[in-house]
Amino acid sequence: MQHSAVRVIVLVALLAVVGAAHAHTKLTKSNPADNAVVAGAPTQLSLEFSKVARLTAVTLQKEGEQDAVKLGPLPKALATAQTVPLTALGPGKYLVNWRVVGEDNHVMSGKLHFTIQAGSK
Amino acid sequence: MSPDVVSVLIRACSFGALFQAAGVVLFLAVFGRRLQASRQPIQRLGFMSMLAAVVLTSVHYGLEAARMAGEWTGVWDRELQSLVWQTAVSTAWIVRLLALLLMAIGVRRTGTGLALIGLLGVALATVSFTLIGHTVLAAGPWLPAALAVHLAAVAFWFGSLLPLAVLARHEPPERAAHIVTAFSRVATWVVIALFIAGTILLLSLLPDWSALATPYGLLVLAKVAAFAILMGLAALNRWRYAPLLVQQTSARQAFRRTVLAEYLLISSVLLLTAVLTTCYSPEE
Repeated sequence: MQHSAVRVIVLVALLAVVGAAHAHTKLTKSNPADNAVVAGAPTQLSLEFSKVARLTAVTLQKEGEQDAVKLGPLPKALATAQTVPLTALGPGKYLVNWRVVGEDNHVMSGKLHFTIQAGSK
Repeated sequence: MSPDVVSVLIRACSFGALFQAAGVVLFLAVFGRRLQASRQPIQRLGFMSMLAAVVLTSVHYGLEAARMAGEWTGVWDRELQSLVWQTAVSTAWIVRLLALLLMAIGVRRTGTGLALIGLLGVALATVSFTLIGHTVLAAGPWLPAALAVHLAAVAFWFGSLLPLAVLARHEPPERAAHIVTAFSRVATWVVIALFIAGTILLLSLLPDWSALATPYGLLVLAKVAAFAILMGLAALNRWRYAPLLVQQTSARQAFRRTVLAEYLLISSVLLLTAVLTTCYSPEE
């Protein structure tokens, strides 16, 4: 009975962690905005957070492509607003995964989607 | 398995090992002079816990860069490892390693003045948790102090359970019953301190009562529920089995089973705490 209880507890905790890994944390604003449909390809990705943080990883993945591209160079300063340059993007749906570390050394992660309309340059 | 999941599991195990080590130091400091047959097995438990804590704490530290990267290759990323080194995470890691070294010296010198070195190690270990996390940004010393008291109490309670099970097996019934009774008297005050400090932390960190409905709040409630169950188990040992230790062999076995149940339950709380403090914050 004790072994079963331990298994249940570990399973619940793992489920909690898996859920949290995809949780949308305190991103207050972005450009492109989450789920935005934009006419022109953006030249940079802007992220604004509720507290100062430092970007540690940002990846961009186009729908239909297997690999995500690491974006950079990433700003090194702690700030509420972070900006990352983007290379020329073609039309399509994109997924951005980001990770930051806050002042309390708490690593936060999140994602956002945006679409560049066909016919965009 | 993602670095986030592995990091949480390693962190929970490191909590267990660290608090077990600290608890052995505290247990020996208070009751060491009364132990005979069980002293060496308990000291061995302490050393093995310290060794495990060194390894697990260091592995967890190494995984921080992978968490920042969101992938395992982050472990080899010099820039991210350099970033981790610049944060309080590295300070906390070093302080914990030093704390474990002092604990090892103190456990070896149980019964002498040098045992105080072990207590200094316990103090450093609890202070290391105030260097990172949600209490870092608190105004004033009260929140970090409450956290340190809370964790010291956890270390004493959790870390004493296996020594109690060991002494129930190795010591003569009368001595075992006497020490368990003395432990229960001390533990009563420790649990009160744990509860008060925990309440201060809860009231200070939660932005409002609606936060109890968030994942962070629900995990906190789960910890509170586990605490209530633990109080029941502790009461069972204190009032039912401990008085019978002298007379009945079956009471010894029941006592050890209940102690181990407490141990498993607190271990699960440590796992929940690792999830809570790694993946969530009070504001989410």
